[in-house]
Amino acid sequence: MREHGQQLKRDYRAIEAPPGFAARVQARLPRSSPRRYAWLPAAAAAALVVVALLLLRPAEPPRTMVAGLGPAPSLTALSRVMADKPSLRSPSLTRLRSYSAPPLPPKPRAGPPADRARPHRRSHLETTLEETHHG
Amino acid sequence: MGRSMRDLDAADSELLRRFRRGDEQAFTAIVQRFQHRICRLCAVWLSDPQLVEDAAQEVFLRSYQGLRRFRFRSAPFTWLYRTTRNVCHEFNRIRRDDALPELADDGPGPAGELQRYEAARRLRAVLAELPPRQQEVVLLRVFEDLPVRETARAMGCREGTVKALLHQATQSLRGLLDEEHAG
Repeated sequence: MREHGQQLKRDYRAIEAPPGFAARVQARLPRSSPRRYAWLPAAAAAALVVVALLLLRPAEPPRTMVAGLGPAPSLTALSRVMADKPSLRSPSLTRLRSYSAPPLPPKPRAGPPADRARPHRRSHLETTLEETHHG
Repeated sequence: MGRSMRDLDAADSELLRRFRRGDEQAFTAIVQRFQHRICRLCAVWLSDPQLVEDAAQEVFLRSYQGLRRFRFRSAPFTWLYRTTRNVCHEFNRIRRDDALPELADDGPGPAGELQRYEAARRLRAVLAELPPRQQEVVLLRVFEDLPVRETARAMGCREGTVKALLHQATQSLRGLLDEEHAG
């Protein structure tokens, strides 16, 4: 039986596709690959949505006023205002390092603060010393 | 040195990845690589040998669309096998519904086609004695040398079922072939 089985297997393996089979399959394939243009429907839908939004935008009705207040500013207007506002840049570290402060004004000439605080004691000491020296 | 089944599967999967990325040449390579195996299966399953090439072409045309969604959960041949089985069943059903006369063993038809698939006719005659599931397991496991795991995936059953079916089929075939040999 084993030999018969092996013979059947050999016979089975001997079966081959007819000559030129692959070329005939190739000829029947669709010319354009569906994958190559698979993005087209999605792109068309996106384009339609964009066009519809652009067409609807000018025809938008004015916003209703709320209780005497002016019309609420639109987000678009706000974003424009923000864009117009000059941007504040943080000072660069290099500029900060090279910054030279203007010279301070000269201090007013005056005696040491201790003397100014105790004028009567100084004069008293000087008087005492003078008296001792001369005396 | 021959390449192992795992290497072959890896090469097939790489071809499939290239095809999925849009490489049309990779599909041509897939057809060339699998054409003989698909034609063998069609020759065994189809009752009309003149339909073998049409059915095999249909398999590859469906693969051109279907393999783009292949998820690499099994070997590419497993996917092709299932498609081939479905196509052959459809062709047989259409032929039956059209009430065409069954081709006799030595019936009319293009001589070249009949001769080409003569071995398939003999094989079909032997397999016809088995239940359909046993026929499948013999084709895949014995004649196609598929591993048990891939055979189970192709048939949509457990590996244990494959082993049991193969055991039953071997027993039946042994009796059949011994009788044939003795007769």
